Amino acid sequence: MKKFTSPTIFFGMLCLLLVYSCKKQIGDIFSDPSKPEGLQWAKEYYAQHLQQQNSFSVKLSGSKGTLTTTDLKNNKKTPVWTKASEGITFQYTFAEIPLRYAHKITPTLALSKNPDERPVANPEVIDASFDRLIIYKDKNGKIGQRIISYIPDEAYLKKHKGNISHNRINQMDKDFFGYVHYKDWEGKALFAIRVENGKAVKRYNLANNVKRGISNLAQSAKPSGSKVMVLPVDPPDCIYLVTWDWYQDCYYASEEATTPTYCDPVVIYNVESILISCNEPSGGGSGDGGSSDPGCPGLIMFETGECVVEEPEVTLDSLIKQFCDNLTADQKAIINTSVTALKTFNCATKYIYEKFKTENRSFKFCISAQDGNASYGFTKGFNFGSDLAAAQMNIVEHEFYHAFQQTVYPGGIEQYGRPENAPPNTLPNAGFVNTEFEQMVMNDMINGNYLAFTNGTPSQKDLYEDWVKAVTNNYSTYPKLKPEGTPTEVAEYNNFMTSYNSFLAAFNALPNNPYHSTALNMQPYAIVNLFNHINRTCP
Amino acid sequence: MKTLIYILLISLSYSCWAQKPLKVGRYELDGKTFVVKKFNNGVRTRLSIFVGTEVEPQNKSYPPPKNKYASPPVKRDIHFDTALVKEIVLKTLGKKRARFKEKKAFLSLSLTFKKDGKLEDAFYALYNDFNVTLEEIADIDKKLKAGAIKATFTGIEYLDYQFIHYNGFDVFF
Repeated sequence: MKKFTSPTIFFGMLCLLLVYSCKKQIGDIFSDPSKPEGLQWAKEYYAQHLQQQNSFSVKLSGSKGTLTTTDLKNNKKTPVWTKASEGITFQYTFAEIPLRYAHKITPTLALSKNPDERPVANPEVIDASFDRLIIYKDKNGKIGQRIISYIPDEAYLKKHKGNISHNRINQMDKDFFGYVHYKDWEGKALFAIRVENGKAVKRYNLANNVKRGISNLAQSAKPSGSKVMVLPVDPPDCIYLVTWDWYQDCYYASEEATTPTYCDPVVIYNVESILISCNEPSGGGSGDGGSSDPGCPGLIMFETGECVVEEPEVTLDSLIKQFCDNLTADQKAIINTSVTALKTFNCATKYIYEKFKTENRSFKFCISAQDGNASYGFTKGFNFGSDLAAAQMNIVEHEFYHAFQQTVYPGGIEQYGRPENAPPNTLPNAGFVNTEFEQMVMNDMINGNYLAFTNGTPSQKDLYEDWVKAVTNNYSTYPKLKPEGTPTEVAEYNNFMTSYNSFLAAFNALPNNPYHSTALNMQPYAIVNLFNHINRTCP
Repeated sequence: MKTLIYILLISLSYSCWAQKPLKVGRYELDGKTFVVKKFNNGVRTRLSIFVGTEVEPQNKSYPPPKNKYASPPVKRDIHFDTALVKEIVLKTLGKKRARFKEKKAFLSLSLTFKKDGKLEDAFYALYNDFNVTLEEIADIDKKLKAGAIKATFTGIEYLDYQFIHYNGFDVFF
C-alpha cells in the first residue's frame, strides 16, 4: 500500500479547500440563470407585500396526542426561491414557489351527505400533498398571490409511487386526479378545483365555508391508510364539500429541501364544510375518477377559480405592430378586421395599405375615450375613441390618410397636429388646418362626401361641391397634379391651387372651427402624391 | 268669335309668362323664399336654387356638432328612399325629360335631415340646362317635404350632429 506523505496530504487538503471555496461560483455556472432575474418582480412583490405578514399562528385547541389543547404556535411560511419556476399563460405571467411551513397544514376534501362526517385521512396522501405560493401578474400588470395545495387521489398517487411534486399548475400530469385547493396568503380558503385527467372539472367556492366543531371529532379522528376519502353520495340528499385540515410537524434535510424527510403523525386541526347542492347528483368529484365532464378547456383564473378560454389566435395584419396593453381580444379582432379591410375599401386605401406594407411600416393601435372618434400621431399611433369607432371604415380611412400624410410631408405632420399635442417649441396651431382640410378634400374627391363644408352654409357647400365635381370630372378621374412639371402642368397645378387655397381659407374661417390655424396655403403633398398614383379602378 | 280668340291669346300668353324659366333673383312663393344664383366654374355653368323660410336661405347656419372634433357623417351612413326622390323629380319634370336627357342635364339635390330622419331642407342645382320654372321647383320641394322622405342613419358620426347633410344626390334624366 502506498504511503501518503505530508506534502501529498497537504496538496489534497489544498484541493479540497479550493473546491469548497469555489462551490458557490461553480454552482452558479450550472444553475438556471433565468430564474433569479426572471422572478425579480415576484421577489420584490413578496418582499414588499408578503414577507412582513409572515407569522400566522396555528391554534391547536381541542387537539390530542402530544399537543396540549391551548397550543398557539407560530407558523412561519418560507418560500424556497431556489426551487421556484416561472410560467406564462395567455392571462398571466406567474411564479410558482415551493412553500415550507414551520408546521405543515394539509387540507383534504371530500363530498359527503354529512357535514360533520368523521375525518378520515390517508397519511400517504397527506404526506405527498404540498403547498406552493403563486405570485401572478395579469395582462394589466396587476400582481396578486395565492397559496395552492396539491392534493392527489390515492390511485393517482400510487401510480406515481408517492411523489407528485413534478406537477406545475400549468403543466399537470394528464392522469392527475385530485384537488387543487386555493387560499390567500393569510390562509383564508377561497376555492377548490376538482382535477380529473389533468383538467379542472369542477370549481367549489369555499369563501362561505362553515366552520365545524372539532372537539368531538378529534376524539375519533385517526389516520387510516385504507379508507377512500370521497364517500359515495346518492340523490336526493344534500351534499357537502367537507374540508379537513390536518396538522403535522415535518423535518427537512436542508434549508432548501422542499420534501420533508420525516413528518409526525397528523392531527385533525380544522373542519369546514359548504353545501354544494340538494336533491341532485353532485356533478363532479367522484374521487376515483370516471367523470364525464370534459373539463376546463382553458385556464383557471387565480383570482376566482373560474375557467377562461383563450380566444382563438388571430393572424394579425402586418400593419399592426402592437396593441395597447388593455385591449381585449374582441377589440384587437375589430381593429385587425378594419385594417385588413383597407385593402379592398377603395383604390386610395388599397394604395396606401400596399405602400405601407411594401415599406414595412406598422403601427400601434389603441382604443380609449378621447375628443372625437379617432386620432393618429406619428409616435403614439392610432387611437379610436370606442370599439364602434374602430369598426367604422370611414373613420379608419380618415386616420390612415393622416398616416399617409405623415410619410409624404417633409418632416411629417406631427408639427401641424392638434394644438394640445403640439411638440415643444412649436407653434401650437401651426398649419393644423392644412392637414385636416387636405384629408377632407381627399376623402370628398374619393367618396363624394363633401365633408369639408359640413359645418358651412348651403352656399359654401354648393360652391365646394361644384368644384369637387369639376376637378374630378364628376368622379370619373382624379386631378393629376405636377407642381414641378411642364409649363402647362404647372399652370394646371396653379389653377387647382387657386381654388384649393380659396376653399381652404373659407374652411379656416368657419365659425368655431377647431382646426383653425394661422399658417395657411401649405402644399397639399398627400393629394399630389396620392392622386398621381391612383385611378378610379384599382390595379 | 274675335273676342273669344283674343281671350284665348291672352290666356295663352299669361300661362306662358307664368311658366317662364327661372332667372337669377329672389322669389317668394307659398311663404317660402327662393334664392336663385348662377355660377360658372370655367368649365360649366349651373343654376343653384336655395329654398327656405329664412330671408337668406343660402346662408342658413346649423348648430355645430356636440364634439368639436366630431367627424361628419358620410353618405354611406345616410339612408333614404332614393328611388322615391328620383320619382318625385322625374314625374314633376316629366314633360321636359327628353330635352334634359338630350342636353345631359341633371338636378343635384342637397338634403338636410334632422336627427329623427325628417327632411329639414332641400337645395337644388341644375346643370347643363336651366329650363325649369319656379313652380316646378316649388312643387318638387313640397312633395319631398310632405313626409314620405325620411332618413335613417348608421355608424356613429351622426350622433354628434343635430342636422345631417347629404350633398350631391344627382338625378339624371
